[in-house]
Amino acid sequence: MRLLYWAAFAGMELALYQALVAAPTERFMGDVQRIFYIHVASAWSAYLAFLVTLLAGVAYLRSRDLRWDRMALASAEVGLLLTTATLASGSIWGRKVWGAWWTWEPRLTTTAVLWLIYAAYLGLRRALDDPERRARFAAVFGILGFFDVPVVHMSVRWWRSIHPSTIGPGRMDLHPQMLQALLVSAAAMTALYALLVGLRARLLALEAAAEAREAGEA
Amino acid sequence: MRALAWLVWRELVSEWRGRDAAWTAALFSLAAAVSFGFALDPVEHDLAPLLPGLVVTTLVFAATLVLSRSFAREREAGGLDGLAALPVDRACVLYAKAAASFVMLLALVLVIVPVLVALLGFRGPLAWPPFLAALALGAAGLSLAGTVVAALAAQARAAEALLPVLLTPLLLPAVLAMARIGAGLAAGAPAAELGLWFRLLGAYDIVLGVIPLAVADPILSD
Repeated sequence: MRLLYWAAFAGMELALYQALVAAPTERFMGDVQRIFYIHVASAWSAYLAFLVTLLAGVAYLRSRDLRWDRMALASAEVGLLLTTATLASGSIWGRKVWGAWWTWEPRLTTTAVLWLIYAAYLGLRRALDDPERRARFAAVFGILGFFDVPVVHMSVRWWRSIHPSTIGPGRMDLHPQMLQALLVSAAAMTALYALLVGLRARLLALEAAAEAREAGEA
Repeated sequence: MRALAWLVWRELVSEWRGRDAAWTAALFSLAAAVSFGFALDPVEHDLAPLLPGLVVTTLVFAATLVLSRSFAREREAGGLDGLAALPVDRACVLYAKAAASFVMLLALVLVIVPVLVALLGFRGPLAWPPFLAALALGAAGLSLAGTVVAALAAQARAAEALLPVLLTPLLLPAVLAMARIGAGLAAGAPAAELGLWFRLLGAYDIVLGVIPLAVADPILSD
């Protein structure tokens, strides 16, 4: 945990330096392109977060150990936060480069649907009081949501496409210094994600212990 | 297989006795059609290009009524324990519910389409058989996803309010594909050119068709 604090803190500092100072200014878009490092890093961490929610949900269904459920919830919450950051940073960039805050572009639309699905996931949890049933149902919804996402993505991709694709099959159009900034940002954001999930899961465990003690005294 | 057929029959008979879902969904569709008329004004504007989209929207929102009734009936009759205690595989229970909802959604399509066409004054060529086939494929996915989600929502607080919030984002691929097929056909494209969207609907149905196998036990075990 202590190590994660340092990794997240130092990583973010280094990522900011890499993104704002070390990486060269993009020729056509100018400085606004630097949002890209934060944007891609938070998008990547958000996908990781929802994968963890899925896997922790499946682990809960197999073991019926509520620790997995707390992990799933913590990861979904942090994932939703990162998805919000992705949408916000993408929107700011889009305003400058595409001239619009929002377009119905595939990856953008998929991310918005992802946001809706995991907001609904949290909504479902709020509506269930029994911890065991809440964990079970949340895991089921996590499975349903996760497998819906590729279909959403496929469908909007067929619909229309103008998203800049830097890392496609067999091509890589980034300046090496830019790539380095991107990788450092992604690593730092992943460390921050792990730190936040760890803290949140610990808080949830303390809450559960406090509730159990209160129930025991009553 | 016999158990499945019996369960589907049981669903349809119990719906036929009460007819709650059918009535509310049909009346809701009518109210939606009238609202579209008031809001979009078919006298001033040509709504023909919008008609497939309006049909799809109405179908999806009316479907949430059908799906929420599907489990509310069980809850009012004394909980889902009875369903879980049936001597059949639990996935079978979900598939039976989905099949019964599918039949009702097909009936609903046959209400929604003529009502919207009549009230919104649609003219012009639309290849109906492929559009109806797309709606049927979409209805299959709606019933499958909707049954799983309705089973979750039915056991939560504020089930009726929760269902559309949980379900709508999951249905978006089907909404998009049905609407694209409708819009393409209305613009005069041959059905063969829309094969991509038909394949998407098929893929969506297959993904959602497999999921009940994995999640039936955790949903119905109490």
